[in-house]
Amino acid sequence: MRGLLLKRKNGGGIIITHDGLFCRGVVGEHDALGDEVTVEPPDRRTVQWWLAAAALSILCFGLGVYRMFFPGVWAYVALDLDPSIELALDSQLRVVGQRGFNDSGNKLLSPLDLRGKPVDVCIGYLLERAYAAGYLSEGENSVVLVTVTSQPSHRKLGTEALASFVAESFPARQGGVEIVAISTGSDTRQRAVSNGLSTGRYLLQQELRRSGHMVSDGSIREDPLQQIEEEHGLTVAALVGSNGSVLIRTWDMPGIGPAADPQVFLAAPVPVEGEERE
Amino acid sequence: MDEDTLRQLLARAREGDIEARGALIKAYRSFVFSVVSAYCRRALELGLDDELSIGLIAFDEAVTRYQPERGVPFLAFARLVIKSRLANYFRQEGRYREIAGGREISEEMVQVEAAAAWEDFLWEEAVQDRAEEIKDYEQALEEFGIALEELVSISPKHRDSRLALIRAAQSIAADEKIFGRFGPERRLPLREMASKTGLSPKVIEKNRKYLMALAIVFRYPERFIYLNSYIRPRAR
Repeated sequence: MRGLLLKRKNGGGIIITHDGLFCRGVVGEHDALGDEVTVEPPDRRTVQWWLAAAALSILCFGLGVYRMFFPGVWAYVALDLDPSIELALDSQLRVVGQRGFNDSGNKLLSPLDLRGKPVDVCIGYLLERAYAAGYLSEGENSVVLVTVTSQPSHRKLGTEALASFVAESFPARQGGVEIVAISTGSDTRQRAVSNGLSTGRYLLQQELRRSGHMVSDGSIREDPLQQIEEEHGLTVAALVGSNGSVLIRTWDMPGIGPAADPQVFLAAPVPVEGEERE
Repeated sequence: MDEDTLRQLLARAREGDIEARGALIKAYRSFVFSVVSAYCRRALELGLDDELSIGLIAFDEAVTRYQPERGVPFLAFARLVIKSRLANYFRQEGRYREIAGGREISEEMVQVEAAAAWEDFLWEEAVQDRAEEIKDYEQALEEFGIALEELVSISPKHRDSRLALIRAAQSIAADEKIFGRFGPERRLPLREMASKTGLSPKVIEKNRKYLMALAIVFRYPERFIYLNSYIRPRAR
């Protein structure tokens, strides 16, 4: 700050600037009264340090309070029916965030606010809504891809538990359903999100590319999973490897005829020959 | 006279414009007389006292010799020239008296005052003169019960506020009646000041000391030449 030196005392001084600010600061040894000098305001710097410390304390406190009311994300669960949806969960497995990755996913979520509700309730509710909206139909074979990204493991978020839960909650009572549940790391999820894809569809895209199938981003994002399977001759179950579980639920057991109760069994992962997993 | 007009008149006068030179002398006649009277420490009358004529001649010389690039306000420089010429006059008067008393004086003094050296001396003297003015300002503030240290804490931090208060201080300084009401124990005519300055009475009362500190500078432009020249807020 530049100004006219009005007073000197113990290495410090008081100046007045062109626009009338009286200011205290450190002045040079040879500066004389009336000289135009540049000063470093020491008091202000001290005050700034105090302000910074106070601001940091308030920030920490505020963050604590914020986390109390809005807990951080502990895990992500993505559902790919035709709609692709992701739910962010806290450590109590309550939903703290939701997002759709394709048009049908956005449409399905747009009237909903799932925050604060338990994840199992939300998954059941979303399956019901997808059924009501016509994304899941009676008498057809459906594919559901569930992807979980969680740093510490949780019993309820195990791939087998998740697949079983989806099978039990699946609303269509006729026709078969194949549920593929996969556990992935946060790096994979991060790459998927930066590509605008759900983690499940991103893994599918990677698998297709490894198999030499070129598929556009738009197609992998929007097309029904069954359609992708049929077009490229690849099963979604091939994604699983050692990181997940496949559940197949069917009423019509081949060669036995229609069953009174749905049959649910855990299928063995489908290996992909000579391919490395991500 | 505003600074731009002064600058233009000085430039024209140095280029030989007699009218501009005459306008300057006419405008600053009272300034010259106040400097001379203060130096002589007595009241003087034009026509009776040579000192006033010497002061006017010195002012004319200051117009010729002034170098704006030196960064010294013109009036400060003119004051120095006037004081220097008066000192010279009194010295010569003393010499004549000494000669009359039978004592010889060397011509060295006269040579020291050769134009170039004298001019250098003047510019150097300006630094001392400026420091004297700053000390005088601090003393003037003390008379109104204001310390420079407290001005640091009370001067507004926002530039726009300061500009508004500087404008208010200028109009207060221009009004003798209102300026006379300022003082440590005096009650301010807040309503009158508010209508004159456009500030609210609350703002005036809150910034009383800051306004006073600036009004002192603007009230005595010939006493606080450097400060008047320095405090020049420009709207962003």
